Amino acid sequence: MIKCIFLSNFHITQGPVISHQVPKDYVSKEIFDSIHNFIITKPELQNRLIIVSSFGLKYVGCPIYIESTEYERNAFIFNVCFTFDEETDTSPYGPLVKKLANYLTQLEIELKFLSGSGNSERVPQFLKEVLHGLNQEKCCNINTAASCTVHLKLASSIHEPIAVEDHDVPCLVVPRDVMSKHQWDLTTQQILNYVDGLSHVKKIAAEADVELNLVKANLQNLLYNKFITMVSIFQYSNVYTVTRNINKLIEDDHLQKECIKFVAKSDRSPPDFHDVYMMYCAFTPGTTVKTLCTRQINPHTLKIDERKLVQFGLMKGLLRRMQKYPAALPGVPVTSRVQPLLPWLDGRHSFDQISCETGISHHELDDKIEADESIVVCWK
Amino acid sequence: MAYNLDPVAVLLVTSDTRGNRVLFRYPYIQETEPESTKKQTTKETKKNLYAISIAESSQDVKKIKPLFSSFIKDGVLVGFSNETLANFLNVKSELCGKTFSVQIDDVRFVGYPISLSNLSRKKRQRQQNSSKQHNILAVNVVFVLRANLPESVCTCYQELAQQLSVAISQEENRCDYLTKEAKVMLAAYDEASVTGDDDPVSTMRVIVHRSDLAKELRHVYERLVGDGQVIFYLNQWLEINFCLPHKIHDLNTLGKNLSLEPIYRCLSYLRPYHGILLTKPEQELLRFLPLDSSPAMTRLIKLTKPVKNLKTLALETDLSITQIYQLVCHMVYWGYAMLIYPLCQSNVYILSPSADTAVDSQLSQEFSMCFHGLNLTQEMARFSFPSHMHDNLDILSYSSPRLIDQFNQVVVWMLQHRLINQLHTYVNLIPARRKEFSSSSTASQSISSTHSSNSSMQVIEESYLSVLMEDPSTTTLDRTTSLSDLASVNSEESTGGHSTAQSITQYTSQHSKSPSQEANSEGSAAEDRKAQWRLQDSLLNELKPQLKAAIVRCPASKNSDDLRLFAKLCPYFNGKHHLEEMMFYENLSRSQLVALLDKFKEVLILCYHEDPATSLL
Repeated sequence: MIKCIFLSNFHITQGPVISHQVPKDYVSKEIFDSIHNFIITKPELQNRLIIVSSFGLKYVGCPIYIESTEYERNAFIFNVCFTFDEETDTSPYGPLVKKLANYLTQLEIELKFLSGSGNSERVPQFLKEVLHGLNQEKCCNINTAASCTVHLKLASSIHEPIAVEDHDVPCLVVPRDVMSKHQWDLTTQQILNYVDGLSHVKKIAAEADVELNLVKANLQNLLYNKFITMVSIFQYSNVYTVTRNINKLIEDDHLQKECIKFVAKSDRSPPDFHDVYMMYCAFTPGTTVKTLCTRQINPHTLKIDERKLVQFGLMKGLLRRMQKYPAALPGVPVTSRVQPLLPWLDGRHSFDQISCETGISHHELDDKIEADESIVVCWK
Repeated sequence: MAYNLDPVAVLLVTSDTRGNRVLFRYPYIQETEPESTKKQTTKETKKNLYAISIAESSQDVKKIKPLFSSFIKDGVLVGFSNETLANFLNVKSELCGKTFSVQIDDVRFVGYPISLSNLSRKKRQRQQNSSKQHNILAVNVVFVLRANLPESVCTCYQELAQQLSVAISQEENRCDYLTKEAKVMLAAYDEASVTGDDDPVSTMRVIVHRSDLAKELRHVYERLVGDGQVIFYLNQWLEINFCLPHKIHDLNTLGKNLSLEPIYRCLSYLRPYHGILLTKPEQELLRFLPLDSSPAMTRLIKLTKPVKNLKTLALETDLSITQIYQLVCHMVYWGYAMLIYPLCQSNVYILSPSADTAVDSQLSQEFSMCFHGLNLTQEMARFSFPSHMHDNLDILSYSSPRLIDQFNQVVVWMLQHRLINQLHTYVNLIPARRKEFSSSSTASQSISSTHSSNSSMQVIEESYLSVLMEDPSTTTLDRTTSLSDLASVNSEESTGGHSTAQSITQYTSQHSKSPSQEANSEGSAAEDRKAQWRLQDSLLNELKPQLKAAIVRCPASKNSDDLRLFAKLCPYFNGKHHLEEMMFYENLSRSQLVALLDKFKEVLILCYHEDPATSLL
């Protein structure tokens, strides 16, 4: 939450001052005086993003220096600062402050938006709109001039987009009806129909009849904006293990209901919580889903959809997939059957990765590796 | 996402009557290059004959502005002249005595400015005597960090900066330490300017050579880059001790977001049945301890064995369990020890998901050094599936006791490097729903409400209460806080870090109490068959009808001893207490407990996962 936005500039006689502030009088003059050297800075630090923490607040600003003979001191120095509580993570706001500073530089150069005398009403109004827009909607589009609209959008997190693999399975984390309210591009709309939490990326591409890389790019975008999450592909040969988070399922009433609804085979007769919980607890290292479903528990009679159970478990962190890492022991010769696979048998590549890159099925890979005594397999 | 936790630079900044200056910065700067290239390029563009000379207009402004350029080049701070740094790192007096943090693009400066103007009177007089001297008004030790570091790391650095600043000002007060050192440093700067030596690097070398403070700051930087522990005596007088737990515990490799939360969580789950495993050899640890360290610590380190639990250690070291807790919390925070469940044959281990399985990893080389003829990957593969310590000891491959011993050492080594985690069995009391009462929503609701965190405890406690009320022999019921309350209190307490570990004292004393302590006292009263019937009735009445019915349906409930034991253990059946904990608190043998669980298996669901105290994940 942005607490306050203020515009500070270098007054020709008074030096650094706060010229506008919304809400009014949030940052007192005394506080400003003690930190103003970080807000109206020396020339070396201009046009840099500066974040100062003091007096329990955080100030994020970017001092701008516009040189022009039109100004009385041949320059106009200003800084639009966002103010936050000290605990706030300000990293998403940094680029925003810089962008806003660039907009204002442009507006100032072209229209004297900040320094002009007639704008004492418009500037605070503008800052107010930015403050409200970002706090309420997380974005704002403000028409400030005939040819300039200020677009600001708060990204939920700033990181490199996570790469989407062919064998990943996208799952919606937002209800579908909420999803469809957003104005997606045509490709995304087409893909979204096929995102059912079971089909993997390659399959979605085939079903939606969209080029694979386009699908990946689209899903990456959705993933970045936290509309979907990626889980690993479901196979009956997979091994999952229950995590400590399973206690959440007992304590959290809401999660429990959500879970029962999610894993039900049919909506009309939901499964018993006891059975769902028992099934989660039955996921132990070394037990494949196949063994579990054939020997220990019959999910069908319990009205549980085991695929959805696993999917829910992975999404909420109740289950963890155990991957197989084959490793060829150094100094021991391998058989000729495994020879071509050797580059992947360094203990860094999981079965999923190897079979994706070599095109060999899990089953085949298993056969080859089990036959060779010089290869050990670590599950983790 | 791995972070580089090393500081970019350490700076010593002072403000005196002649202005602000950076007295020392380490590592030395190689600033000349980027500066000169920048100048050259600007000159070239101007010299170019064919360039269109744009009139002095607003357009020009944008060009001069530097595009985004990083302040960190090859891990060294660049782009700031000493004057710039001196100006903005010396803050107004209102900001002195507070933590200081400024981020500029991709670097973050954290420090602790201290004003020296209000020194003691004695010192004033001394200064007036030698009046020609200029006064140092403020000092600030600043660490330059990468801006993307998480807040918790910055806070740690801030603590260190504070320790250093305060110590320097204290020493200045005591014996004019800073004034003397500053004189030495300034002399070096003056010499450099006299000889016309522009190279700041050589000046810094001279300073490090001559000044103790500079040496100490260099030492701090080097230790931080090294293993993250800083222990030394400033001016051979004031102890500085600091550790960067993120680095020591190698939290970076665990992925996710970097925070100290896992360590504090581990400490909050500390119980008397846990043991500790030293991460370094005993002798090495003892050498690390400062001279004035508590003798209790030395005793604890000497007596620690991975097979002993804390209660035993408390008895052997003749310390109270609370004291042991304090010492253990301290040792865990500093990375000297880690919490484990004491080694025993029935422990079940599994490969940790964060273990590096690569064949040619650094760890596997270390492993081969320690254990000749063994391969780490092979040993790890053994723990692909949950294995008992003794499962692996089949007679064929471990024929001699020496090999068994070696195997145990391998397990200890793998525990020390967090390659394996111990799996524990947790028990939940959730009866299957029978067709008779099939109103679906109410059933699931009732389960959740009986089990939601504390409430299940309370429900059962009340049932005991009702029994105890009838029994005149028991008069007091002192148990007021539940374990989970304690845990939350503890986690708050331990956030203070190593220095505030003692505040745990008041709470940890209650750790040794078990959830069903008062239930023990009621054993004698239940001799009477009638009373026992009442117990059974009241116990089961307090439980939800479904639970009661399900328990009674178990054949074993006909046996009063079994039922009594079951009732006693009920508070543990909420998925938060593992078998070992029940055995410890209720003084049961494993076979007894397992037999009981088996008798009531219709209403119980067993679950296997790590103990939150012993796993950092």
